[in-house]
This record gives sequence, C-alpha cells and structure tokens, in this order.
Amino acid sequence: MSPRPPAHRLVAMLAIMVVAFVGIVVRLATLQVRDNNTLSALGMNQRMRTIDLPAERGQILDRDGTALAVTREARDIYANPTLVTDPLGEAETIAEVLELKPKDVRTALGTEGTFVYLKRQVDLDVALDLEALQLPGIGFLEVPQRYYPAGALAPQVLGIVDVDGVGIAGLENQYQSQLAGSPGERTAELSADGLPISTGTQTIQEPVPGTSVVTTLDRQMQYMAETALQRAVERNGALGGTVIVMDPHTGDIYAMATYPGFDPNDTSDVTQDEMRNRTVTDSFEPGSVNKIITAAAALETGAVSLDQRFQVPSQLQVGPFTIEDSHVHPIETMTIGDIIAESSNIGSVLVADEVGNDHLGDYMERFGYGRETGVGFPGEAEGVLLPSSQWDEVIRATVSYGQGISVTPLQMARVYATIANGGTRVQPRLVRGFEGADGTFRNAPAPRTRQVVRPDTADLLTRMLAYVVEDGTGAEAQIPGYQVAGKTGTSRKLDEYGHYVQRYMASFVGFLPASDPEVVIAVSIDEPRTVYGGLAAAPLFQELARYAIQRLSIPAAPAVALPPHAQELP
Amino acid sequence: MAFWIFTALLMTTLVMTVVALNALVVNATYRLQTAQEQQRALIGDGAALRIEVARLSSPSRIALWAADNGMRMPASDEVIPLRVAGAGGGSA
Repeated sequence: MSPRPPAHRLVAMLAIMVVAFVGIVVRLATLQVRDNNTLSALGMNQRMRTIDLPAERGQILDRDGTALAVTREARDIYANPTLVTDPLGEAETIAEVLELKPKDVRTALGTEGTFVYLKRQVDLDVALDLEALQLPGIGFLEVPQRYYPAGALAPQVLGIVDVDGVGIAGLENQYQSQLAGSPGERTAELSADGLPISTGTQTIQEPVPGTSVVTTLDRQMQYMAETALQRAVERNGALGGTVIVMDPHTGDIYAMATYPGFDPNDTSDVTQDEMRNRTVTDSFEPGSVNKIITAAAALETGAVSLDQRFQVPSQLQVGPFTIEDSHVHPIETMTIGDIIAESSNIGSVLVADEVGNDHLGDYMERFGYGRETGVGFPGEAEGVLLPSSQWDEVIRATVSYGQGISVTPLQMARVYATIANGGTRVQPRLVRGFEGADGTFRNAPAPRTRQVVRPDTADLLTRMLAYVVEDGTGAEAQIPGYQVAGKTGTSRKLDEYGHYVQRYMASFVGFLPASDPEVVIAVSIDEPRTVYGGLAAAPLFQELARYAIQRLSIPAAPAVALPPHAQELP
Repeated sequence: MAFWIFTALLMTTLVMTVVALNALVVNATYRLQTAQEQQRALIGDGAALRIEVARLSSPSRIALWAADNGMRMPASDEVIPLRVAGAGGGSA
C-alpha cells in the first residue's frame, strides 16, 4: 500500500482547482453578463445576412390585356480574373457563346481586380449554355430583363429600359414610378458554409411588385398601322411617316405608329431618331388639313355663311408676297364648302380676311394649338402658334391654310376628333388604367373635355369634310358603303435655316362614318415622291379605315348632306 | 444503484425526445422550404408560359407564318363589308 500524499499537496491542488474554477466563473460572467450585448450583436452580425429582393416590374398591356412588355429572368455574366486559369482559351469560348469580340473578352479577363462584367442582360438560355461549360473564374448573377414579346410593335410608344431596368423612353419612362414597385429584403441566419439555418432567425420584407399599365392600344390595329405605313412609305419613296388611329369620343388611341421603327429587344444599333415617337414629339406645318379650323372659325362666329360666294383667283398678292393655289385656274366662284373641297389657299385667305386675326387665333387655341395635348408622354411638343396680336396680314393669310404654324400629328388628329365628337374636344389618352399584382384594376383619370364649337357647327364642318372625299381632293379615301369625312394636306418643309424648300409633308386626316363617327385616322408621309396628300396619304387612310371597319365592327350609317356647291346656287 | 439507472434512463429519454422534436422541426422546415421553392418555380413557369403565349400570338409572327404557308392579306377591294337589313343605317 502506497503512502498517503502529504496534506499540503492536496491543499495546494485544491487551491489551484478553486482558483481555476473561479477564473472560469469570472470569465463566463464577463462573457455572459458584462459583454453579453456586445458579443451577441457581433455573433448576429457574423451569422445574419440581408439580401435585397428586387420588385418585379409591372407589365405594359394592350387594351385587351395582352402583354406588350414583360420582365423575365436573365443573367449578368462577370469574371474574377484572379481565378481564370486559361485567359486565352476562355476568352475564345466566351466570345463565341456571348457573341462578343475575343479581343474585348481577353482585355476584360486581363484586368486587375476580382470583378469585371463580361456582358449584362444575357438571355437565360445563352447564359445556361455558358454556365454548363463550368469555366473557372466566370460567375453569373440572376437579374431581371425587360422583354417585348410582340417584337418591333409600337417600340416608340412603349419605350425602353436601361441595363438596370429603369425606364428611359416612352411609357416605360412616363410610368416608371408605377411600374417599378418597391424592393424588399430578406434577412436570414446563415451557417459557417453560408447556407440558411433551418431553425435560425429569418425575417422577410416582401417586395411590392410594380403596377401594370393597361394601354389603349389595340395590338392588331397597331400591327396593321405599322405594316401599312411601311408599305406606303416604301411605295412613295418617302423618308418616313406617322399614323394615329383614335376613338373621337373617349380619346383612346388604338394605334400610334412611327416609321422607321426598331426592335426594342435589340437596341444596340438604334439611333435617337428612330426612338422618337414622332406623332407626339415632332411638329410640322400642317398645310391644308388646317383649313378646317379657318372654316370652323368662320362658321361659328357667323363671319361667313355656308352659301356665301367668293371670287377666287389662283394668285393673290398679300403684302410683299404672292400666294398661289396648287394649280392655275381662272377666277372661280366658290362657297366655303368648295374652298375646303378644292383645298384652295386663296379661298382660305379670303375666308380668313372675313374672320379676322382675333377670332382665327382664338379658334386655333381652342382646338389646342400651341400647348400639349396632355396625352401623357415624355417629350411631347407644344407646336408653334404665334399670338394673334402679333399677326400681320401675311401671317393671317399663311396660317389660314396651315403654313407659318406647326403642330404635332396628335394635335392634328385631335382637331378632327373634336369635329367628329360634335365639337367637344377630348384629351387623347394612351393609358386606360392600372392593374395591380392582385389583379385589381384602377381606371386612369377621366380625360378632360372642352366644348370648342357648337354641335351644329361641327355638323356643318363634317358635311364639308364629306364633300372633300366625295367630290374634292380626297377621292382616294372613299370606301364603298361608308361615307368618309376628311381633308388632304400638302405642306412645304423648312430647311435648317428656316427657308421653305421643295420638300413636302403629305397628310390626310379624317373619320368615318361621317354621320356617326367611330374612328379618327391621321396619316402623314414625310417627303413622298408624289407630294400631294390626296395621292400619297389618302390611300393609306383608306386601307387603315377599311381595316378599322372590320376590327371595330363599325356599322354603316346614313350619309350626311353635302354643303351647297357655288354652281348649284341660284 | 437503481437511482442511477433511473436517472440515466430519464436523461436518455429526455435527450432523445428533444433530438426527435428538433429533427421534426428541421424536417418540417425543410419541407416548407421545398414547397416554397416549388411555388416560386410554378409561378415562374406560369409567367414564362404567359410570355410565350404573348410571343406566339404576336401579329407579326402569325403574319410571317401565314406568308410562309402561302397566305396573304386581302387587298382593300377584296374586303367587302356586308350589311344585314335592319341592323344598321343606310349608306353613302
């Protein structure tokens, strides 16, 4: 049996253990009590990660709810050059898959640092092809991508978004705040290997999806307007053109086309010129389509009556200038109806002389010249209308037949919509309402209206416009079985110095059926070979009007009586 | 001795219960996450299908398909609006 250890050793051992135990207790107390809050926070910070949850951008829909602009999944592809093992080989492969220049990819892979974008907004299937190759140092970020399923349909109206998904043109820009929604975030407790801890803390602030914008556009009508416009431009050897199809009663725009256009899914080669929605952003001298406002002012104020006769020469000296009709003719006796039907510049000047500056200027303003239509589109032009107090006899003369002022195609369409709507001007609109992510629909604010001329004056103007198509310059717009009311326009363009040149804008604006209008169509062709609106633009109007009859199921209506012809008057 | 055996059994049972409950929670959480992922995937599939419908029904694609199959748009004078007696007004 071994001897018992000395007592002092046991005491020493006990003392050491007590001291060690006390030390542990003190340390525990320090960590668990004194530093509790600090260490807990440090621990949480180490484990908790916050991830942004992007809000899904709202769609842009046509009037029937078909998607015109949607958001889908895509990838941003990046490289960490420090992890790339074979820069030359990888550059060749990546360039081939992503359709990039190998030199550019080699340069990117040779940059210093740990992150460089190779290509952003890559289609998902292309990105997955590249991902399958498992190239070292190449990474993929999940991002949303704007996609336009109908391709090159109404691109200038819909607009585009930038690489970060922010609307920079068209309706995408106009309704950015509604479409964008609000991003959310997810905070989760992660394990050491970065995976969420199942029983750990997790908080989610759900993103609020963007609101969808329901437009007034009719997808079929828009397509027909664009294809017919393209054919008309090519047939006439013109530079371009515009079309607007709208409901005169509600202001709903069924189609708004500008040619040339572009594919919003591939904007790499698109110019700023092609991106402009010229129906709204560009103004031009309207020419003879403007004569209807001169007639409206004359009839509404009583300055001229329907059977009043004018002696109209083919040339007229106004101040230092000689104004001419489009063709030489002997002095003719004309009513105001004849003047509109034959599109006589001199006749319009004579009517404007009866009306006077103040009334003529007043009616130009009443019809909406010189200010935005309020359609709700970025960059809308106001056009140019000099105050009538500054007019001299030359300006009054030229304004009467649509030169010396400028308007947008939409302003011009609205003038005719006002007449078709019984003299009440309706604010045109591109958006019917907004649809939330839960499917609830909210109407857009009701369009503003204003009575511009009396209904009986609008009826007289309609009769005159029907006369233009049946027996005047607009014969090419006739449709068997339907009475069309409209007006041709041919206006000279200005060069960059403000001088008139031998280049023309041909236009036709009209509506049908004349007695019960359902649709207004405004067409303009930029620099056609056949300069006259009656030849270059009216056939396009007719083609679109025929389609509108089918698409909108427009029934025929009784014909309106034509205004008196001077030769038929006693 | 019996006390120690009883205590060991009790402790083992308690530990097993806690572990089993924890396992059930983890399993339920896993199934919940899987279901949420499936929901997200289905929503994504639905959105993708809606996009595909919009693409396939686009007028330009249909017009191209029709042209490839020998069809064409009728000329203006080839479309004749018909009127049913009593259904509309007169004509010009």
